Amino acid sequence: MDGNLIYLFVGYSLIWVALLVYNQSLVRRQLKLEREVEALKRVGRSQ
Amino acid sequence: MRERGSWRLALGWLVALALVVSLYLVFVYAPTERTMGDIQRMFYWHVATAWNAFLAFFVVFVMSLLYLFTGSRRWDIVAVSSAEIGVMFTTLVLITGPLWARPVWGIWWTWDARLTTTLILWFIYVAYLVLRAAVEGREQQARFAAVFGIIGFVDVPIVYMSIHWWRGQHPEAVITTSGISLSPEMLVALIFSVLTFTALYAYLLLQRIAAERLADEVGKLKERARNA
Amino acid sequence: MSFLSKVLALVEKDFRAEFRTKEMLSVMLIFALLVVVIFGFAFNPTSQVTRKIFPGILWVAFFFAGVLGLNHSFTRERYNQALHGLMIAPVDRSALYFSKVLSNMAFMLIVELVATPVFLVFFDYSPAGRLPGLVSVVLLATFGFVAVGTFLAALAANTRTSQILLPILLFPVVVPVVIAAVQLTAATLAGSSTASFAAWLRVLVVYDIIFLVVPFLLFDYLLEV
Repeated sequence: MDGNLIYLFVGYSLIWVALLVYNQSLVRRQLKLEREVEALKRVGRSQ
Repeated sequence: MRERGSWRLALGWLVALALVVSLYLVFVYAPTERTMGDIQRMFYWHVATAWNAFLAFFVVFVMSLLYLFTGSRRWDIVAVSSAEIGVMFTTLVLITGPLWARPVWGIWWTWDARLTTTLILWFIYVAYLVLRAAVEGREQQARFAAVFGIIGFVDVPIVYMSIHWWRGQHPEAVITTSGISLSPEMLVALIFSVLTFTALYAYLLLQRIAAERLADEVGKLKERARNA
Repeated sequence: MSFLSKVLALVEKDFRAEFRTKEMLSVMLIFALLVVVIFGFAFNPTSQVTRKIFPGILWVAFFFAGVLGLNHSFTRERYNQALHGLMIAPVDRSALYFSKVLSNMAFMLIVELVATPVFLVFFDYSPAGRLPGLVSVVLLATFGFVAVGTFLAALAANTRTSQILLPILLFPVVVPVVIAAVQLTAATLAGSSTASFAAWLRVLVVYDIIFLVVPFLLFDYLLEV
């Protein structure tokens, strides 16, 4: 049983890591796009 | 825009809290299963991700139909977002499954109907994402993806039945998970995990949709800048 | 012109185009034979185990060769804007789909017809079952593969990576046909007609019907301009 706990640990940590990384990538993508939208709007106004 | 973003943020923290509570239920509240021992605790999040992966693919199917009927990009955005999250969940299911099977059954993988169907599901929706990437033009991309989303989903029950019968001819290798008898505490932990992951799915879906909408806006602004 | 004669006219067009050069048929055939030769090298062709997996080898060769043909069936219409020409033609889009299904099916059957005896010789395999059983299995399985394959080939043809995309779209979807075809072929070749035979035949029939109707309903969406 004790040796099995490593599988459990790996499983749950993998889920956590995957969720955090995915969430982080989504947030970062949004920030990047938001900045791009701002920049494009500025360009549009200045023209 | 800002306001909706803060709602998403609140939901995100709520989901994070629920995930921690769910961990408590899984590791402390739920009793240790008698025959399998602690490794059985893998079951809760495994089932939670699996259930929501199927939900995500069902959403892809419904959104694909809606897209073909209305031609509105709104549904396509939901479809692609849901497919991506579904693939991620299925990947997690396919990883946690063997991690559970190895100590309990002594094998990483068995060609049981449920496992194998999940694997085929993963292939179908990875193909869905690859297809999207390979099509040029927003409108055509959405149309092709919707068509494949429908074909792929219609296929799933037949895949399940055929693999089920295929394995039925080799009964010695069939191992099912239905043998577990769940105590009430286990059931609570399971149901809470599933609901938490459904909320998580909703949260990720909203985040992904927001990203896709922003990408659309960038595209539109670029188009306008080019025309100006 | 009735719907059927339109479909047949389109099939005739495919046949004429193909038999002028025979480039697709010859490639499919040679490829199918090559797959079997490769299997012969990979596994000992005279061992008992290989004889057991012979139906599987057979269908792997057919399906892989089939993918080559399917790939070609729509991508070749891209030259000289032939596909646009077909879309302007006064026929239903579904007639286009059915005609492609029929001609792809015919090409695959020709390959199977020529290749099967060669496979039997190479693997020194003497089939025990009766011919009608085998023929019906081959027809049903090939049809299921071609029905969904033709549709996905049309889908893939309009993408940037058309030739390499089709296999990954097609094979996950066609899993039931692969399983049923191998099971049924193994049963017929061994001459044992078990109870599961009817069940597998039903899987194939259901699959064939579903993947004839669904693409028929959706085909219009593929060829919008």
